[in-house]
Amino acid sequence: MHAKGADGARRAKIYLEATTRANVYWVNPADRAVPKLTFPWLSGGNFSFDMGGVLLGGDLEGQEFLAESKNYASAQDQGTHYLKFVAQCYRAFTLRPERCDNFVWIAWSPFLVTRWDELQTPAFVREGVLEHRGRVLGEADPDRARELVDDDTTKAVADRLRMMFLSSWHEKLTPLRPDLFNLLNFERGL
Amino acid sequence: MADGKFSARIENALAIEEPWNSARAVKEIVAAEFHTLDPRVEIKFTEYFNHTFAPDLVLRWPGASGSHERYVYLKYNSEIEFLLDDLRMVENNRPILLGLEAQNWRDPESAKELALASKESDTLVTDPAGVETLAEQSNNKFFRLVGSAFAQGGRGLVNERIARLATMSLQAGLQGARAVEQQPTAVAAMLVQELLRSEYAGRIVRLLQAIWVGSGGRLEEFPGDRSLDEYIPDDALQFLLEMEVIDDKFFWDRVGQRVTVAQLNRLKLPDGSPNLELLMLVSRHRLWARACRVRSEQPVLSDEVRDKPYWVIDRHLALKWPRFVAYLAATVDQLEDVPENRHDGLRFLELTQRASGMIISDLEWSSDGRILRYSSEDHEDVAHDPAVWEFERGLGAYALIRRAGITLPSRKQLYADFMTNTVGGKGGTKLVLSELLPPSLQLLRDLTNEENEQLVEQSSAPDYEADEQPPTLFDLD
Repeated sequence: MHAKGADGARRAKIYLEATTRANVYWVNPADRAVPKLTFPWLSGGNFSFDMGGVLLGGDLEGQEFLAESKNYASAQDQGTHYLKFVAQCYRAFTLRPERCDNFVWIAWSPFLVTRWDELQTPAFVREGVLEHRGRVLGEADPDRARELVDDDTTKAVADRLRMMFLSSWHEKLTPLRPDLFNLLNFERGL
Repeated sequence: MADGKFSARIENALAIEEPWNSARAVKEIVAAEFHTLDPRVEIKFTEYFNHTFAPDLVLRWPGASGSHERYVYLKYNSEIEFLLDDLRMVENNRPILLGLEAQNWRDPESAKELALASKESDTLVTDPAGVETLAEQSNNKFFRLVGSAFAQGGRGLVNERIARLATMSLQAGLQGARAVEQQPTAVAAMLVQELLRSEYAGRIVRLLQAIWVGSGGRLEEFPGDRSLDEYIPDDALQFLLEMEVIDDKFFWDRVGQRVTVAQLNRLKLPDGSPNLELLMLVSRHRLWARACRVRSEQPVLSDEVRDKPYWVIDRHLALKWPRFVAYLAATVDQLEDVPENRHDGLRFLELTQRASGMIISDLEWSSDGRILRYSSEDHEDVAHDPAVWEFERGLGAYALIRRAGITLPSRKQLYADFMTNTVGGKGGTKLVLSELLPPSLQLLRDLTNEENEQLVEQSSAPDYEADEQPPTLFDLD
């Protein structure tokens, strides 16, 4: 159903925008979007999220989000990626909390199912930070790193973690195109 | 070459940290460029940015039959496959997709696919250099028309290379039409039909056709879709009159043979134009009307003060003098929208002075609620009849002439209505403008000597002799 070239980030953008509740401003790897999605590690070097933008309507109006998408057919190494993702979220929140209202993980396959209820907890965020302590905290020693993790930040990040799962079928369940154009009220903000 | 300033400004705006401010700045820059391309366009910002379905900008053109709109989608991705994907999502609205990064489109096959898809869906896919290339010619009126047509009805893939090709071919086509040369005219006509939706391509082609015909080309030899009408379409005539001066009386003579006062009255040139002056100079002996209404108008402060009369089209074709305006129409009914300077009438003695050289064959007095009409069956002079002086004496000092019938030396019959300041041909008599204007103004106004001289100048025969200038309009460089 999707045109060629549509990768995970692109499919996620189309789905999110078809819900009428999100506007994905920036998508990797469009050159001029990358700086908006890129943050520096403490130890040097950068990482970037796959996409970012703003949420629309209701209590989400105007909130920003940063998202990572993994278009995998099976769990594969998503657990490892997710652990790194939460470490990135911790680092991004430390640097620019005003841009971090929501951290969204978008996937097409479940992962870490045995730890499902832990994935959006401060403890899991702490685990991710410690796993990547060198880059996030600038500290290679695990014991010293444990002392550097900030509990308020792990909690703030955990509170902002969102999970979104998609499938081709799910992506179909959005308003039909003519209805969508009616729903999207272009006059807003005109 | 597009100098890349548009692109650089976009880049600076994208570098702004805060998302809303960055998006807003990008939109403002894009809107300014579209304004350069078409100064008439109204641009609204939506609250969306780089959205799959919602446009970033809504371009709106006011029109007589309501405004019409075109959506602009700003796109980060310059990959052809992504653009094709984006196009499919919104093509039903025939929008503009503007890639924010320069489009190189190195893969000719994919570019061909995108070009075909965008043309078929009447969607314009372009980039900053493409828009900038089209906009940079906008100080020229012809290219302002082309720019407006592109903004409203451009289609296909237009990057800098194609925009450059289009402007060069159109420039050559314009010169070609002026020189009655088939090949460059044909290329330009073909190109606009390729890159513009048919209604917008039609405007440019009709203008080329009008220039072709005005330049002495035969209508049936015009290369491109021909309008079979022998008249010049309104839009083409409007543009011709607004364009830079075409100082060629033969050109305007040929154009003048294909226009009417009724058609001129549908156009809008409230401040006149040099080309309208040229058209009227060579056409006032051919264009006819049946009615003329003169209205006192004091120039307002913002008006450019001109000491000579000049032609304007302000609801009607009109000759504008420093103190008054003479409006012309095919019938007196059509002058209803020109407010009258209502008067009670004119003293008989004053009428005889104003009507010097004309035959007064019909008189209608009004006095104290009574009307008296005295008229010749054969349109002979009645003003010198002894009875007239008897009536004058009998009716008293307050009697005024409210209407008079006039016979011109050509035996054509006019009536002058002094209450509404209107002169018309009797019984549907048509008069060419150089025949209608002098008696109208002489009867309806107490002209100064200077105004009388100017009137003589306005009705004299055009001089076609050796003052021909080589046309310079189309030398765009």
